[in-house]
Amino acid sequence: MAMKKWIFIVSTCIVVLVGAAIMIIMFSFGPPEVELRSFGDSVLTSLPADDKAAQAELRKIRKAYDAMRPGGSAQAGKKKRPSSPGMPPDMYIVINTHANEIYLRTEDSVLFKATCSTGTGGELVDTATGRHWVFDTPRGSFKISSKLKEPWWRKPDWAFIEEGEDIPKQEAERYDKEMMGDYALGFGDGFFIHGTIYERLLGINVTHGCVRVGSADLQHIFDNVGIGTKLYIF
Amino acid sequence: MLRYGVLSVSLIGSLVGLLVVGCGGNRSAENEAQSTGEEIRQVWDRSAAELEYRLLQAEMSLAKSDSVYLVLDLKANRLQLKLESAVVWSHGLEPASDGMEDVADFCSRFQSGEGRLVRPIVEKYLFEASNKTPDSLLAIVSGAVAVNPELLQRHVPGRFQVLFGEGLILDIRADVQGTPVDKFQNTVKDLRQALRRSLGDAIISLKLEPDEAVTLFRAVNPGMVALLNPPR
Repeated sequence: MAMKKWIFIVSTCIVVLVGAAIMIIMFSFGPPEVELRSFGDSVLTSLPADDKAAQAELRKIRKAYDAMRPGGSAQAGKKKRPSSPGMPPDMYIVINTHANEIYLRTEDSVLFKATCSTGTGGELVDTATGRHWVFDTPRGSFKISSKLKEPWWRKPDWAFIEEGEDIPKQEAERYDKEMMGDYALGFGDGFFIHGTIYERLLGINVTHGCVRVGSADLQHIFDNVGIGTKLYIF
Repeated sequence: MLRYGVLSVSLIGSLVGLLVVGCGGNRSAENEAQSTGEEIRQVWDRSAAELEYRLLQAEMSLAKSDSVYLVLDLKANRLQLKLESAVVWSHGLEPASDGMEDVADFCSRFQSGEGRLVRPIVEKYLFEASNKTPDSLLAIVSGAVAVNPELLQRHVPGRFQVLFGEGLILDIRADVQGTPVDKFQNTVKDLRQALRRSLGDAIISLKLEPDEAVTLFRAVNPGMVALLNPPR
């Protein structure tokens, strides 16, 4: 009889403990609840009650949104065509720093895809002067601002500091005509999409912030992209 | 003979006349159908317009920021990353196993009866991953460019989840031989989700190519905004 009592007590305890464990697992260990501080549904407004006014408002916002999109009505009105005649006018460039890939694409399809190399994210400090550099590819939206054939690289100070060399006093000692390959497309602030002599390292984040592309792929991009083409880096 | 000729000419003429009238009749029927179609199109669908208006407002606000945002386009069955309204990454949103029912559950839970279209990502959880770059190559590269090898290391996720809170989960798997990051946590997460699924938690399971999985895993972070485009 005493044995049966103990079995009952132990099994009841087991059931209670298992139940408690299930409850803890179900209602804890969940993700934290995060509220949107900057933007949320609460800021979205409704259409006006009057049908005609609502239709006009909808037309207005459609037009405004269309103007924002790459290749939208605002871009279409421009005189210069930023891509070659063989490419759609709404084509843009995307650089995926996460997978080290570069695309020529439109909203609906990828027209061209190639492997590239983007910034390491590494840092360099010049112990002599305290100057500091972060070798990252900038993220955001840009435009192709220049197209160069057979570009020469003007080595900045960090290139010498990184190699443990003295910064040259003669400007001519800064130029390197091999490093950037056959073509370069500038997108501002000294950043370029260019060729490389280290094609084996394509696909890895090894650059100082520029975007390196293999020579055949770079030629295709150079031939099909014009000044003013939108560039998105993420 | 001439009479037969006249008769046949008049017969042919009347046949042609009938044909012309017939075609004209068809054309007027077409016109009628067209005008009815236009009337139907002109019928003002307020709820659809409200949804489109809210979506466009949300897109425009998100596009004005310089951050990437995630779009769950359940209308076109696509998962997209956008930057300033430009699609920078896109992948089909075909669920791996349980079919479109999961997508419908996810959609209604996302909106939570209030028509919500925007939610922040609250957590990204990596179950298992493999290393993309072999250590030998990594050592050479990190030596050559004088960079910490950790900065060059890129995990290829074998499985990870993007959590939106309130039981909304994107479960992503890639065809990668991965090693578990934390076996205990993984088991607790799986157990919790299996139990909570019976309470209505919604999970969409997706299978991606390793490169696509790397992109999504690295681009999506807690705090990123997700926008839902619900199916009609």
